[in-house]
Amino acid sequence: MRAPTRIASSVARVAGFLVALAALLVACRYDPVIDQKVRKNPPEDPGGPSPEHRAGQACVDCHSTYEGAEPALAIGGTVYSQTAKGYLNGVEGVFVTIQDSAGATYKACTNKAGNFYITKADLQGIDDLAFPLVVNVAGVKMASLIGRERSCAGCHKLASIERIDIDPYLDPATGRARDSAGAIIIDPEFVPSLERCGPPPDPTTSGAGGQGGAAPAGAGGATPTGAGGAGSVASSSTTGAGGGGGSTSSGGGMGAGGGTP
Amino acid sequence: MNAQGVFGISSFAAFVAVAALTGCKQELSSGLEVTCPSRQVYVQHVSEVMERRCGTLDCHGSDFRPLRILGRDGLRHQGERKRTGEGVTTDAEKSANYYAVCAVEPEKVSKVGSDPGGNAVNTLLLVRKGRGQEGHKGGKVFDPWDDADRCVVGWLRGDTEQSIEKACKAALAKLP
Repeated sequence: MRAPTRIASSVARVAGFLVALAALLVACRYDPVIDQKVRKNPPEDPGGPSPEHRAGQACVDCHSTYEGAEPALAIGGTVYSQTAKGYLNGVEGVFVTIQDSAGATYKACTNKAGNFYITKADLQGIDDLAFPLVVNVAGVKMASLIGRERSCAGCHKLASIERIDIDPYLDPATGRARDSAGAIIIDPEFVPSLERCGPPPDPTTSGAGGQGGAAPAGAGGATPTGAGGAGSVASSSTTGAGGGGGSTSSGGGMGAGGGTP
Repeated sequence: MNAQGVFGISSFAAFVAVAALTGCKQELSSGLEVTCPSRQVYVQHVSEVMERRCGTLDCHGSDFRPLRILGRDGLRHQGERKRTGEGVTTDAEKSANYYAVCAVEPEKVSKVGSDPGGNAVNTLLLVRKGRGQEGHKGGKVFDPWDDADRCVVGWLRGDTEQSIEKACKAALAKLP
């Protein structure tokens, strides 16, 4: 009975070695902070990955060299409007302008879900954005600089039960709290024409800026459902992308979170 | 074990305990005097520069950073019911910033005050990280002796309030 014992011992040793090797390989690539953030995200949208998916979530957690989702993004986020009842809708067809510290300016146009992004490929020969960044959304300047975060949702967090548990003073509609600016909110009625992009809004569609349905914020990841209105998917691009159209109203207001409903 | 042995062990243990306690007492009583530059100057002039340039939500305006800078457009004070972007930066937030900055390297900050013209200020982690001379995720934030640098360094060295105010205002004016 000695030989089988020896074989079993060798097999166990080899298996142990392989397990250790696998653990080492995984550990080399393992970043618990990002992994935890990704795991906490709500599940994928029913339609699967698309430019409109996972609105309000931290885009670059996955669209990065670490997680490897394509396309790799330099920056990305979601722009919302807020209904009188406090619901958030993605706003389609407004420019988000990003100016980096090296003087380069990039413009991205929001799509049906309100998502916008600048891909690494959009940087056109430049390795990366030079932080800090100055951001304008539909012509309204963000109050603070962006120091290093590539996912707007990293700071503009939506409300979630988990967050409300930690901070009861959190605004349940917008997610605004002591540690977050809440959703990026604009009033589509007051977007200057120069800040509009993509196809002109469909006049037959009712609702501000041609946006359709509403989705309640609250359990994180407020996915605008039935976002009708302007048809095609607007893509992100560098300066000069997108078309005109839309209203000619001036003024406007972007709020980091706005008031309670 | 006889009675003498027990007594011997007890005596030794008592001696060790007394020695340890005395040692601790001496350690505590020797104290560490820490002095930080002017709180009033920091609160009035320097805090805003650090809030705007260092205290964004994605950098030092995060609960996850060991050095936390609070402010109106960043992280708000835990004890006050305010949200990002509401009102103005409160006195409690500015005070918290002061103590946070002083506490990065309290002994070394104290030395800067006693040697204002010396090189001590250039060795501070706060200054070196800001200048990008030390590992810093935010990279280089100040150039040595630019307005923002003079605002912070001037305060650390105890420069005149007028010169600090001038540097801080110039630094704020240059921010995009």
